[in-house]
Amino acid sequence: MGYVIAAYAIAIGAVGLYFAHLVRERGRLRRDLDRGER
Amino acid sequence: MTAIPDSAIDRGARALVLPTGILLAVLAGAWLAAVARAPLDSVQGVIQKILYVHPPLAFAAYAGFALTALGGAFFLWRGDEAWDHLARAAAEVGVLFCTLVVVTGPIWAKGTWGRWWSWDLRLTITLLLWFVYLAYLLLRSFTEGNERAARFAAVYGIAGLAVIPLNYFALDLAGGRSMHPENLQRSNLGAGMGWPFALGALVCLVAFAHLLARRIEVEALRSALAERVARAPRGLEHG
Repeated sequence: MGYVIAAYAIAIGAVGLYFAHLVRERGRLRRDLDRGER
Repeated sequence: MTAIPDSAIDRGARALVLPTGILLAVLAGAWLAAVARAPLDSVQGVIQKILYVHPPLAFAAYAGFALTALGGAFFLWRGDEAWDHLARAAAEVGVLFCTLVVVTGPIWAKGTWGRWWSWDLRLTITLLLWFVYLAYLLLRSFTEGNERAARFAAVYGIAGLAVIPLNYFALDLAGGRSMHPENLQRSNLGAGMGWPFALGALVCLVAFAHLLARRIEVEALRSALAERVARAPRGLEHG
């Protein structure tokens, strides 16, 4: 059972981390662009 | 005013973010419940449940690499940067899913075969596929903003696609000498195992679409920022 939980946790965790990275990167780039417009 | 790229691909990506996000949240819950309720395999036991995530991850990786080739082909044909953005974004998301294939496979193998890895034809070609597109990402990161490198990467991305059919049909090529189980389809699964597998495939493809849409958005913003830096007077690049 431990192997099964590990496989699902790694898959879901990695997708979640990448999602969080993209959301944060989008926010950072938006802020940089907005700062340049002012 | 800095123009953020607004091609049909960028607009499509922005439109996909919300519906795929909602669909993913709903489907992921249903999938995990279906996996928990799925009957135990009489031969492998509980470890067989890894197969509701491992092949679906591979389908998403294949989709990523197919879109890398498609984007690259259209970039070479039309010369529109938006297609290059699609190719680059799809390669990155595809490599994420391929990494998870390469990680979850050995976890299943350890529980079933008693060892993490075997230099079986299917496993070796999957590793090759991962390296091919990892090299694509390295090439893109080392040659940021270089038009010629983008064209080379497009050709490379298209050529790399040849590994996918080789990978899918590796079991036939091995002529019955492969340790890897046959390609899973709903028709060759036991009673009650088809739904968790089909839902797993759907969840991985929707997750792929959602991450790809977000990654294309990021690519468009990076492109706008790079354009602004290029136009800024010297010494004011970060202002």
